[in-house]
Amino acid sequence: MERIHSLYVHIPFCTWVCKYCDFTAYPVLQGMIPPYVDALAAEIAQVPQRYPIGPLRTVFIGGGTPSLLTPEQLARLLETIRQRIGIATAAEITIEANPSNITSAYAAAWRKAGVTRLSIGVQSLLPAALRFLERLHSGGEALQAIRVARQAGFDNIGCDLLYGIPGVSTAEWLESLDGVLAEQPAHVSAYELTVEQGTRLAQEVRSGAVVMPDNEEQLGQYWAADRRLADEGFVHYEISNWSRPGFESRHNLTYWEYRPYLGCGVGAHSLLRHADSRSERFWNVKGVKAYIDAVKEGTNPVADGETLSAARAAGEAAMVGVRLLQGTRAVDPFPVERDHLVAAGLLAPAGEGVCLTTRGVELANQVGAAFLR
Amino acid sequence: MAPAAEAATFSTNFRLGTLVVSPLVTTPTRLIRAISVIAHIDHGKTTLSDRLLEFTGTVAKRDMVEQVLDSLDLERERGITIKAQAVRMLYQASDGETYQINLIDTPGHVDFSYEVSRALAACDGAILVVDASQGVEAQTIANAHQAQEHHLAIIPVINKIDLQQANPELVREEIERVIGVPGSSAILASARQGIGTREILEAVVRDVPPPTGDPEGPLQALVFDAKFDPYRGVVVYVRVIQGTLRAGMRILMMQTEKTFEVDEVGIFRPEREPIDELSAGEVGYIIANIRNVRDSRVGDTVTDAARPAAAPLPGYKHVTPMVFAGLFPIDSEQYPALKEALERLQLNDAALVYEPETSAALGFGFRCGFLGLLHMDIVQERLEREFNLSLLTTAPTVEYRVRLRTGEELAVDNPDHLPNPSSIEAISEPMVLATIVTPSTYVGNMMELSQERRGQFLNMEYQPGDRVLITYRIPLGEIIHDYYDQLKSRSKGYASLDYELVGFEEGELVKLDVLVAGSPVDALSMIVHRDKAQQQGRRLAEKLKALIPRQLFEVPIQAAIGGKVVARETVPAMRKDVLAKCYGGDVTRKRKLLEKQKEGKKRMKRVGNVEIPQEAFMAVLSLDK
Repeated sequence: MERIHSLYVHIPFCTWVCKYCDFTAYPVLQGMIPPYVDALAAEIAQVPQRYPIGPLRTVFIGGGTPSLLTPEQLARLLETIRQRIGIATAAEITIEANPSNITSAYAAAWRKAGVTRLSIGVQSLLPAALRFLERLHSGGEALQAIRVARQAGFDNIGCDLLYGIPGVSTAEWLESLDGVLAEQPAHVSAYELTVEQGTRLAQEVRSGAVVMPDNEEQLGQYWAADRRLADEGFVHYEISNWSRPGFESRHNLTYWEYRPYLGCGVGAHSLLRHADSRSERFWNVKGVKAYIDAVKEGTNPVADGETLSAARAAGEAAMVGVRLLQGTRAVDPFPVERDHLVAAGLLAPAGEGVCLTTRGVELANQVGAAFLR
Repeated sequence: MAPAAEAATFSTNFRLGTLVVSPLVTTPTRLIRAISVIAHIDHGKTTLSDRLLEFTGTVAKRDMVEQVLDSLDLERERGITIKAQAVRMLYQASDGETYQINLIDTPGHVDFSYEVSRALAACDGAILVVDASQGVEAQTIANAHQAQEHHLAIIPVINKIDLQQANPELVREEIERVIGVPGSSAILASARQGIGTREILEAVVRDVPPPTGDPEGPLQALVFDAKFDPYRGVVVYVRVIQGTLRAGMRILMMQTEKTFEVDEVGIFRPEREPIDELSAGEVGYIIANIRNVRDSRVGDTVTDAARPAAAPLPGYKHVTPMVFAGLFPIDSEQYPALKEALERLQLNDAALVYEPETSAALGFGFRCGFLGLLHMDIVQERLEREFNLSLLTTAPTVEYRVRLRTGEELAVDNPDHLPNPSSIEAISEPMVLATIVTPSTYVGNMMELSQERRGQFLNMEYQPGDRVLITYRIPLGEIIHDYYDQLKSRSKGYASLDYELVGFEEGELVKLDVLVAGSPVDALSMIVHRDKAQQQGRRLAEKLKALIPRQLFEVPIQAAIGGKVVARETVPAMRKDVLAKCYGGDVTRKRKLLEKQKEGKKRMKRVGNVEIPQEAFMAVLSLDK
C-alpha cells in the first residue's frame, strides 16, 4: 500500500450555517467542541496502527470553521499529529479561517503552533452579496483579516471567493476580486455559487424566491476573473484555483493527483492506494455524537467505503486529474477517449500529457465522464 | 359403513376416476358446454370469468389471485388478456345434472382479434358482457358480430349494475337495437360483487347447445391457442369437434402437415391435469413433443394420422403482421443475445415474425412484424424484461406495395427500402374499415380526426342511448400513428374503435427523410402522403429538436423530400457542465453523478456523433397536435 503523506482534519462547527453550504457543518453547540477535540486527538493517535502514514507533507484543517477552535485546542491537535504521525520539515500546514476569527492573537498563536498557510473565506466584499450569502463579516473586516495575518508572519495566504451570486454584476464581481488582489494574496480560489441539494438556497430557488444567473453570466464572470488573475501573474492551475508560482495548495494537489490521503473527524473521506492499483475510499460517520462515541469505544469511526478496481481507479484518477490545467498524465491509460476528446476540442496536448481547452473547462464533467465505465 | 372404510373407498374411487365431483370423469356429450366470455376492454370480462371459476369451485376462494386466467405477468400488470385460456368447470345445475362447462377466455384487444375469432370457433356459446355504465362499445359490436358469424348462442350480461352510473335499462335497449339480441334476455350482474353468477350458469346450460360431433368419427380437433413450456415443448389448446384424442396417438396437423406422437392429453383446472382422453365436444390440451409453436398454428386442425378426417375444419387463416418496426440492441454486442431472445419468444408467439436488418444508422438488428402496436409494445417489453436486453425500437410502419415501371411488384415494410421515386409506377397502402362508437357530442371531433387522417366517410347510424356508429375507410398507416390516442382524447375517453383490414389502395405517397448533423438517419425515414409531407416534416424536425438532448456541438436537424429540405431546426450545443469544487470528500459523489449521467446515455443510440434517445425514433408516431 502506498504510504500516506497527507492528512485532512475536519472541524464541523460553524457559528452560522450559510444557506448555500452542504458541507458537514453544525451550528456551535454549547460544550460540543472540547469532547470533539478529545475524540479527534484520540482518532489521530490510533491512525498509525491502522495505515502506513507519515511523515506528513501536508496537513489541512478544514471545516466548518476551524478558526472557532481556541489556539490551545488547535495547538494540541497539531502536537498530537506531530508526535503520533510525524510531520516532515517544510510541510504545508493549512487552516481554514473565517475573517471574523482572525485576530492578531489568534494569528500569532497559529504561527507558533506551526501553521504555514491560511485559507480565508472572504467570499465577497460586496455588502449585498455578503448579506445574501448570510456571512457574518463585512468586506472591510475580511481585508483587515488578510492584513492581520500578514503582520503575524503569514506569507502564504489564500482567499476563497464566490461568483455567480444572484444580483451581482460582472463589474461588481471584478471589484471584489480587485479589492482582494490589492492585499497581495498568494492564492485565490474562485467558486461558482452552486445550488446544492438539501440546502436552504435550493429551496429558495425551487420556490422562485431566488433566480440564479444563467450559464452565460456565470461563465462570463469566470473567464473575466481568469483574465484579471492572469494579468496579476497568477497561474490558473485548477478549474477553480489560481496561485502565484510555487504557491499552489500542495494539500489539494494530493486530491487531483490521486495520491492517498487520510481524513480524520466527522464525515471525513480517506483514499488508500493499493500496490495492485486498486483504490479504496472510506468515510467516517456523520453525526458528531456518533463519531465521539465510536472513537471513545476505541472503534474505527468509519461509516462506509468502497474499493475500486484498478481500471475504475484509473478512470477516477483521470476524472480528477483533468482538473489540473497545467497538464496531466492521468489520461494516458485512455488513449481512445483522449483522442476522441482532443478531436472534439475539449482536450489539448500539454507537455507530455493533456489539459482541458477553454471549452473543455466549461464542459469538464463531459470530459471526466469519458473515463468512467 | 365405518367412517374409516368410507374414507378409503372415497380415495380409491378418486383414483379410479369414478367420483362424481371429479372433473376426470367422462361426461355424456349432452352435458358438455363450451363458452367464451367476450366484451369490450374493461367491461369486466376477466373478473366475471374469475367469479364463474370461484362459484363452480374450480378455484377455491383462498387460491384466487385476482384475474386467475391472465397468467403472463404482463397481462396481470396491464390488466389485459393476451393469450386465450381454457378451463373446465363442473356445475350442478338446478335440473340436478352436473354439467361440464368449458370456459375459454379471449384476448380483449383489437390487435389479437384473430385469436378471439379462433377461440370463438371452439365454442358453442358466448357470454357477451356489457358494462352497465358504458353501454355497447366498438369491440362489443365487433365481438358480437364474430360470435354471430360462428353461429354461437349469445347470452347477454349487463355487468357492473352496482355502479352508481349504471343504466341497465338503456343498455338492454342498446343490446337489442345494436347487437340484435333480445334485450329482455340480458342477465343483470356485478362480477365484482358476485351478483348474477348462478343465473349466468343456468342460462349457459339452458341456452347453449351441446356439441354434436360423433366421438367415434375421424378425429377433428381445432387448435385455438398454443403455449411453449420449456420442459414439455408446445402445449396445444384444442377443442375436439369430432372423434377422440388419446395419449399415444399419432396425430397430423392438417395445415402444416406435420405429424407428432401425443405424449399427454389433459384439461385445465386451471392448472394442467392429464386425463385419458378428450372426446367430441371437450376442450383441453395436447403435449406431443412439438418444439415450435409454428408447427401447431392457431386455427389448424388436428387429426388422426392413421385415420385422417376428409377435410380440415373451416376458417383457418394465416396470421399476417400489420405493423413493422426495427428492433436494435442499444449495445451492438447484444445482437447475438437479441437473436436468441427472438427465437425463444417466437416459440411462444406465432404471430411474431422477424428477419435480420442492417441500418446505416443503427447497425445490426431485426425487422419485426407485429399484429398491432400493443403487440409490438409487449414484445419489446418481454424482450427487455425476460431477456435483460436494452433495445431501441424504430417507429412502426405498415407494409406498402410498390409497383415498379418494370411491372415488378414489391412489398416494402421499411420506408428506407422504398426504391428510387423515378422507378416507381405506383405505391399502394393497406386500408382498414374503422368502426367508431361515440356519444353524439363527439361526432364532429371524430369526423374531423378521421378526415385529417385521410379517411373516407362511409356511414353513420344513430343508436339508442345517444350512441353514434360511424364507419370510415382509413389508411392503416394513419391509424397506427396516434389515431387511437387522439380518438380517446378528443372524445374525453368515450369513443371506442375497432378496425379490420380491407385491402390495398393506391395513394400519392412519398418518402420523408431526416438528416441529423448532415447525415441521413435511415431509421427516421417515413412514408407520408404528399399533401401532408411538408407539414409532417416540419413537425418531425420540431419534435426531434425537443427530444435530442444538447450535445457537445450544435446539431442541425433537417427533413427532406426527394433531396429537397422542407424543414430545419437546430439543437444548440451544450453550454456548461462543470462542478466548481472537487476535493477529497467530493470525488465519490462526483463520480457517481457522472456515472449516472453516463448510464442515461447508454439508453441512447449513437448515430454518427449524435446521441439519440429512443423517444426520438418514436417521434413520428405523434405528429398531430
